Amino acid sequence: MHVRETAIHWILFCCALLSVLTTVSIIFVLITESLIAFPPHTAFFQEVSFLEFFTETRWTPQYADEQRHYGILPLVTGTFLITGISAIIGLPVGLLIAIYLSEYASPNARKWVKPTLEILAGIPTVVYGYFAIRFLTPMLIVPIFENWMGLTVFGKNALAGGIVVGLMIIPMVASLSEDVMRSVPNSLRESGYALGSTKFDVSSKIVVPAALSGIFASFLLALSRSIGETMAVAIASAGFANLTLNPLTQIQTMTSYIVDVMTGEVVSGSTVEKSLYAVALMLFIITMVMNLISQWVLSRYREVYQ
Amino acid sequence: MRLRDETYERRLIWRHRIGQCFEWLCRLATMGALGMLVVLMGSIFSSALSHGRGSGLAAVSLTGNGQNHEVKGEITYKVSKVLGGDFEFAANPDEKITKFSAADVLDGKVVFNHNGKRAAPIFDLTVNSLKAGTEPLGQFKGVGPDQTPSEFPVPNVHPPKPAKPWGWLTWGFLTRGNNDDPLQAGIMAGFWGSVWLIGLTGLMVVPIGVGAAVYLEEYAKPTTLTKFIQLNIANLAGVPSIVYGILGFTVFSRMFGVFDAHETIVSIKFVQIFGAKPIDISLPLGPVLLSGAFTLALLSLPVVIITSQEALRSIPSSLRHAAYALGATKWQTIWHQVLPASLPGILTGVILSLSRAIGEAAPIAVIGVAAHLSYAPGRITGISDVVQHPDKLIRAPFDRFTALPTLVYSWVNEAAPNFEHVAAAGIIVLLATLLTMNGTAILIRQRFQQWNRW
Repeated sequence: MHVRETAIHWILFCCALLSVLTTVSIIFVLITESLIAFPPHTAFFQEVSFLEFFTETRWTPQYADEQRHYGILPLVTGTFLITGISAIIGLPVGLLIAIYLSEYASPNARKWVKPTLEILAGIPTVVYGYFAIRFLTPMLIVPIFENWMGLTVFGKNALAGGIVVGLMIIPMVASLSEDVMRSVPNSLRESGYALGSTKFDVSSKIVVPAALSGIFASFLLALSRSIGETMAVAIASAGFANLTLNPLTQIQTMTSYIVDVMTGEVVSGSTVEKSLYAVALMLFIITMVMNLISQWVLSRYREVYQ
Repeated sequence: MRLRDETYERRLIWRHRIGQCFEWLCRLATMGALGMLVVLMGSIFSSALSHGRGSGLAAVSLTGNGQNHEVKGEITYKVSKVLGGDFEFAANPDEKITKFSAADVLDGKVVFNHNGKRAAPIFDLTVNSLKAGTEPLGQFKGVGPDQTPSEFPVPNVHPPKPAKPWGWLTWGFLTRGNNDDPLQAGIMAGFWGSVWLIGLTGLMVVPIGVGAAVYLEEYAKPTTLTKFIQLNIANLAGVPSIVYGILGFTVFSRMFGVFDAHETIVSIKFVQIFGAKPIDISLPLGPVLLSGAFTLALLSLPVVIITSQEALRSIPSSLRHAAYALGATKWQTIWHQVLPASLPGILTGVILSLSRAIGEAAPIAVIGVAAHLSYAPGRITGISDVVQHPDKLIRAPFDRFTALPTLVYSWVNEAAPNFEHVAAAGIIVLLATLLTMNGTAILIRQRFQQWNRW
């Protein structure tokens, strides 16, 4: 009997260890292809220098030999353009919804709004991509920016992708921020009311500041999600890797570059294929750092009010 | 001193006004987000149910029994009383036209734009000759796809798809494989691919995920290692899905390039008891179902662990103590008491995270899955086929496949006209699949919750 119990203990431990193994294998795969390879092969950074990777302003791996450049800057600006637009849309709206749900909404309204937001969160990203390229661009962006303001709008543009990614992160920001706002003790609110504050004063000057670190963490998680978002951006915005901040042209993000290369023909063992791993490593590091910070903030915050 | 003077009153009013404005702003944001959901759904459904864009009238569009090829180039048409759409020049699609020549049609300049109000457009037609003066060659009333006048070639305006109340979401669409022609494209291969993915991923992720959760909640002591595992799981949940795709591509699909030099074939012999040929599995696996399922399993594992942990945590410890008091061992307590009690929570979490994984197109696309596939995994054609050749069920996981989101992705990117409607119909199938899964989760939660009362 004792043997069986111990065996089960160890089997379950191995299950838990598998998650560590996943992380280790992700890091192993990304590093062996991009930083240091096993001798007969060469890694990406043994073929392309760090200097070129971080300072070159052109990203053209799929061009002919002499025009081939590996500078990550266009991909990074593309990613941050999408993230920036999505942040402008998603973060304030998500925060306002969170305030509404935690401070203003009646229990009845909450009962309807929360599941509907979950539907918004559960829609696959390809669907958002479809919405961006078949509805937002032709029905909204082209009439406003091209017909009315006279600017040139590309069929694939960063704005459409950014807007749908913003839509995608709204439920995340709303539900995470709402959780932290609701965990702000009621005594704080009541003391605010006792001093003659209006509901607006209480929400904006007491609840939001008290929950600020949690809100910050939810923002970080949402931003890391929009950095890692792939398909919606690949459909709605991704084309040529322009080094630009113009939201009406096509751009290339780190994620959409990976999809772009992998859905086309790629020669096994070529520098182009290895560049995928270098880009994925960048992506992994950026999102990992953001997640770690937000987790640290969230865990610290939980200790304060419990 | 007066406590309430006029300025105070005014400030009070303003403070309340600002408060009200803010409340409305919050409401507006909520309504806006929910409104976007409505617009999104509306755009998809209207596209899936619409008629599709008119294809250009080409040479073949000039039909008629007694086609006189010599007069084709010299014929002009005048149309009136057009129902079900408009004739337009392709170069100027906003302006409807009533006159055009057969040469225009032959050059592909004329387009019939269906407005979707009629299944079969009808119009009156006058045929004139350029040579023979003003005398019309023929006049026809109510020309439609069903009745074509015989003497002269007339423009044929068949809609791109037969008008049905469910638009592009036809039975043919559900039962056909993918095709380059939007009218022939179907979702069958993708649907069965996704069903296989759900099954295989679930088989892998449930035991491992629940096992890990049980270990972390019931066995693990709060050591540094446990904390590290916990932090690691939380971080894995935030890793972009495309990174898992890269991992799956390298480890499962390409197998580190170990087999690049010489492709290895492993034969599975045990299927011979079914009287079938042994299954040959070539290594590296390539973009087969099993690679996809492994990748999605790794992707959904962290979320399954986290939700299962929450389900286990909600079980009161009195249940465990009661079991221990009756002399049960730790595993007996977990297997017979804790797990059954937390089953609804665990199942809900598993199904929700699986439905997330199934909707992911990125990792599946990255491991190299192609969209152009016209058969279900294992080339299974139906239930009778499975009964006759049960070995196909073992063959399927090693077969190439395509999935619903992959198909939608390829259709959205397709430049040819009318593929947006196919994509919309595909999205509806995808959403319906996810809705079924989530509905099952809700049903399970409600069913099982009645069992547990403490």
